[in-house]
Amino acid sequence: MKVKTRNLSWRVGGKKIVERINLEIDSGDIVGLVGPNGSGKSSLLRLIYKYYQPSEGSVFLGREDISLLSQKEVATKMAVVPQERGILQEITVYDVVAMGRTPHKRLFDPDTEEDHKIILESLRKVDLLRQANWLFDTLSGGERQRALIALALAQETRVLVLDEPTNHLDPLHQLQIMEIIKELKRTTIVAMHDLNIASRYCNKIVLLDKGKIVAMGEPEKVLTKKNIREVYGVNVDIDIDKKERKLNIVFLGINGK
Amino acid sequence: MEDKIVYKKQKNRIPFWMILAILLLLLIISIVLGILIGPVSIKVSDIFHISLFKLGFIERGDWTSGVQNIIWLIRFPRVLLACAVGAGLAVAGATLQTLVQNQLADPFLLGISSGASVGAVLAIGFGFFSFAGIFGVQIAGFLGAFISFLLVFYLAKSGRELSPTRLILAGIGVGYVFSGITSFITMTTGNRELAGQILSWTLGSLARATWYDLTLPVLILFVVVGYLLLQSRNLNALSMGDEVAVTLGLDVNKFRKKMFVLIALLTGVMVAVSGTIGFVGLIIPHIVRIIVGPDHRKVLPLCALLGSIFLIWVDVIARTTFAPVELPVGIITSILGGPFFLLLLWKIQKKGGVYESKN
Repeated sequence: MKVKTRNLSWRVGGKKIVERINLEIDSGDIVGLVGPNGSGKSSLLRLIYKYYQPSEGSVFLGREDISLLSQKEVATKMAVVPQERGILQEITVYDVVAMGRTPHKRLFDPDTEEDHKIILESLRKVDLLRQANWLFDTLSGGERQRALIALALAQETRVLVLDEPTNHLDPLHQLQIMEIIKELKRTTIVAMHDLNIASRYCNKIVLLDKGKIVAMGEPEKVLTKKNIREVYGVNVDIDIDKKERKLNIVFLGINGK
Repeated sequence: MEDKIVYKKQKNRIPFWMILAILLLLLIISIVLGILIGPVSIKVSDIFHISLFKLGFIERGDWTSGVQNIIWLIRFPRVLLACAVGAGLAVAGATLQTLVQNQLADPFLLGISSGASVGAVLAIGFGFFSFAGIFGVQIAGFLGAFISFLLVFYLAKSGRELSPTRLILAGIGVGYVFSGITSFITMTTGNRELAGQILSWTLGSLARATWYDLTLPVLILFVVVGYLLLQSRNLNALSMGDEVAVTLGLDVNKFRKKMFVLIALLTGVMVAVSGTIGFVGLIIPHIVRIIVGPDHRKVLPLCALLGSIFLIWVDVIARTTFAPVELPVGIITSILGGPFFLLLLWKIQKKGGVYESKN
């Protein structure tokens, strides 16, 4: 399913947080959203998943404008792993993932055998079957993040949005999360900070600064020395492995020092 | 490897239907004992015979009309009122804790009970809503509860966020103001009898229960709890945090408003018939969650049952400990609830301050 934004803007108290964003994401694309802190990554994602209402512009899922869809309809097309969540105490991993079935349920619908299968399959994809009966708050940081991805998977949507899923994780767990995302083969938008990892797993990069798109396209065309210096204020050296299409970005120092 | 793991759902917990059955049994036993225990001794068989007779199933037996009046006009409605109020407050507490994402929320702490008191006292003292007859006090209670809740809600809201800390502070503040108003009215009526009546009522009492008092609370209890049960999936989603709930398809703002009105209705009516009985809404949901986990489909019915049982026994203690003097129920729930609240705070602190809603 395609995701498109047209002139998407969001202002708070006259301050422009997100400004005229035009994105076009093809089915199966993994799009990495990068940019400094406060560049509007989370706000843009929240506009896309209808947590915020845009000041102007619109978001399209396939051909449909999400402002015309109910929250529930959006939830059956797009699953989200947001940065913030409530306190999850006394709840098992299985039950957390089972929440993903919510948008498919109407008032009197019970849990079915099919739900159970979907939940187990989601747990298997993130390799948490063994921990299904554990309490959520006994999991490690990487496992919690995987459980939340499984929750999104149980929603059975074609679009997946993740807001900094690799935050606070060690290198191994960061790569694990990205491998899982890659294997899912869904239309994915993922906000992140690590430019090397982004270039490695995303086939498109959107570089954001002060709420605007600075550049977008293939990783090696977006993550250039010049762009990184201008947006992040950091000098870098970049090796490009042409065969494997991998970037190796080395941080040299703060620009001007 | 992974395929060989036998998956059993929640293996360590007692099956839900068993807990439900046990609590139902306990509730029936509690109702019977609640009617039985009192200054005038009664035979168990009389309770059944008189009930059956009153419902028109059997002919009048050889019991005295004194026993009949004690059972049918005094103790029966009183025990049933304890059931309704206990269930209502426990369910209100459980729902509120999810709605405001704070484990310490309860109708009393959030100032809703105090607001309901003002409404009810105005109705008792000055005859507000007297056109509504016996339901006047209950309607006034609902309006009071609703107004105080709106105040707390808007005071606690900063922008989009509903901060748990601000919510408790706003609840306490609004609670004080409304308690002050209630006291003011009580002290300045100049009518001693009325003042006494209001005072005993604000401390929480089930003593004057009649069958008429029961109608509205029981009706609203069933309607609201039934509706909440239908919404339990949404309540579950909300307990994951606002943002997750939205991405699971819940229109959070609309849902929260709707739920708040229902909780104000439930609390207002209960407070109007029983006075302010604190902490039931705090203690019961916590015990229930420890037993069955956080799923509202299980939490809400068990809260109703356990709340009923709890308040029946608190009321038994209230009327027997210092008999013939009766203690207000609210005093006993506070004596039990206060320490429980402090224990909870202490436990949360030990766990590293999880009562702020993030992570």
